[in-house]
Amino acid sequence: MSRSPNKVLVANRSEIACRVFQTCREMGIKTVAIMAPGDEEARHITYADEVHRVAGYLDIPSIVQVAKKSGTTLIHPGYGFLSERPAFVAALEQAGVGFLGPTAETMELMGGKIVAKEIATRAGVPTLPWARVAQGGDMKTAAARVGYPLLLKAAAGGGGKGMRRVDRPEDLESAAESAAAEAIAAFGDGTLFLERLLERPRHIEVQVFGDGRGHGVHLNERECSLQRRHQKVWEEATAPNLSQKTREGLFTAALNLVREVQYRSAGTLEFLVDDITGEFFFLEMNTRLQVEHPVSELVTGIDLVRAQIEQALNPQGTVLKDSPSPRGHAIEVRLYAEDPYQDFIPTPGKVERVRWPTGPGIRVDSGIEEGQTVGTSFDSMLAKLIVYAEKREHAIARMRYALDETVIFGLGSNQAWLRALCDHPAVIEGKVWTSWLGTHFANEKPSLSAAAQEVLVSARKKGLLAAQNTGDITQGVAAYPSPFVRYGNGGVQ
Amino acid sequence: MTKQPSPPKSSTPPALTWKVSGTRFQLSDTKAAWTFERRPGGWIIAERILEDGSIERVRFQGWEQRTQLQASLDGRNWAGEIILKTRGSSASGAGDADLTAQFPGKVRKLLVREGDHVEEGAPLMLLEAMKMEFSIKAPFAGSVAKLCVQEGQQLSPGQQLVELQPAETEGTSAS
Repeated sequence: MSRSPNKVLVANRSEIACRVFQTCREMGIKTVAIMAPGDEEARHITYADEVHRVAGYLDIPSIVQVAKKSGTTLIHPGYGFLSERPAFVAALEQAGVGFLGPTAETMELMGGKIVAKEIATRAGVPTLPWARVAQGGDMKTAAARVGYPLLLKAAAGGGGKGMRRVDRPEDLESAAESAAAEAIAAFGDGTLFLERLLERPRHIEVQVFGDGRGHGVHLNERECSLQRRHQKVWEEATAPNLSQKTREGLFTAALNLVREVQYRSAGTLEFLVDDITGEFFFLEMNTRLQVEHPVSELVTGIDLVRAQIEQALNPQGTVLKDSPSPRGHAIEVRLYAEDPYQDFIPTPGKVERVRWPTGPGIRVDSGIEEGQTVGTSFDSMLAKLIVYAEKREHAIARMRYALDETVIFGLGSNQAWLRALCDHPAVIEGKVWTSWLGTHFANEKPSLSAAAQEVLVSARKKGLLAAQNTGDITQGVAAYPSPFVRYGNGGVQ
Repeated sequence: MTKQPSPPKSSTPPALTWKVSGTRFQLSDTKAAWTFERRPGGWIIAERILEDGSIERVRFQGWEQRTQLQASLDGRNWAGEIILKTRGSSASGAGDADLTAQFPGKVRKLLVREGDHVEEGAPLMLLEAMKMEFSIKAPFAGSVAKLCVQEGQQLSPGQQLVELQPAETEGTSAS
């Protein structure tokens, strides 16, 4: 195998860094990991060809310095952290280090909520009807134009703060008053805008890839409606129960936007889809590789990270020329260190044992290793389980199998809850919407079957469960003696 | 308020009291004739012969250390804490009503001051862990007797957060 003169630094950690490293290894490219204080045990440190300390994963000067020192030619930002910070990309452009993503300029444009809407409108992509609330202006007229029910949103907003649902014109004024007050308290800025509210929308997104000179392809859509507090937990490619007309409309809209901004590399356009009318509305663009990119890779056979690297190495070329047709069905679930049966409190701890499922159609993108302590400084995603099968119902059956065969001891996870999702009729039928998990999924506590109880008690009496049977991993004291202590009635939410 | 399952009626003590996700499981001793085989990979096979002569075979993994017990069984991962001795019989004892940190994290913001009266469900403070924010709510109406933590403080599990005086003992209860 030929050695590439290139070197890729992943400005990220854990699962996604390891994912990028795999492709680099396959391409004969050396890898560089960065390590923030307190993250010494993270999995990506083990798998890199070279490791450098940085002050933090958000510290741009420190990362740029490592890139220069190590002779890095390309930087992959992963998701989160600096992945959507134009300042980071600009710093790299200035330092002469390649970036596996769009230009700083595109990122800046698509990052602004209102600018992105305007670009979308220019490209003929439908957005939800919206209007600015002008100081002292006629809000009722603007609201009538937007239509009811609507959402009052803080322009500086995020996290649901300064947001109010308004169903009738007579409620508009008081809602605006309280939303503005909340927005001022939270963001120091009471500017509001109005946006049409969709009842029971689906979150459907289109994976795109552009060559940076106006040519783009789509890698089909993903269904990501199963979310909790705006955090996705289950993603599919392709979307079930989506009409061919809506699907084609989404693709055309997505490609129009890619052309409009001459998008470079991998990106995702998020849409809300009204299942009843088939209408869809552009929400925002994520100018990076997403957590759920594996499902698109599985149904298209394209390695998105490889495409990103090849496009960066050949800026005058077009790596992906045609939009691939999807084949089969893929589902991803996210394993988080949280307890769904106690209001999703975090359950950090030491990973005492981990066993991943293997077999046909199973992919595990893991961020943990046996013996590692998962602390509270970083996000709680442990790993992604991804399955692929010819048909959707087989993919769901495969996900059940994959979850059944997953063993993670030493810390709690949402594994049982995800397993319960696989059995829910609405999930099986693919009839869910963005607020469904919060309102319709009965979060029943699990109970042990009689046989399981017997087995557990007898096995324990025979000493079969004692930790020393598993080898030397019980040495040393876990950073958190017990992640399961003191489950009282105190209301943590 | 008392949601704890009642203890088993028989006089034999349970073989194992185990708390999973806040739910107490009392697993009684069993005479069932399971035979076990340890397999490579950490697997344990349990087998028994049913009345009709057929064989029931259960494959699982289990792990126990100090008071932690976990089992991957029945397609579920059971993570729990073994309760070594029952702390009194009252379900509404101070042990359950006090407000302690249930996970390691940081105090982001205190929302009440000592002496404040709070309604049931009122947010008392915000904690932060794993890049998420969690609010600690009053389990009952009362007054804030003592704040045991400061903003920015790092917490370890079990650490007391706040002392709350129930409204009934304040002598101001309306009920």
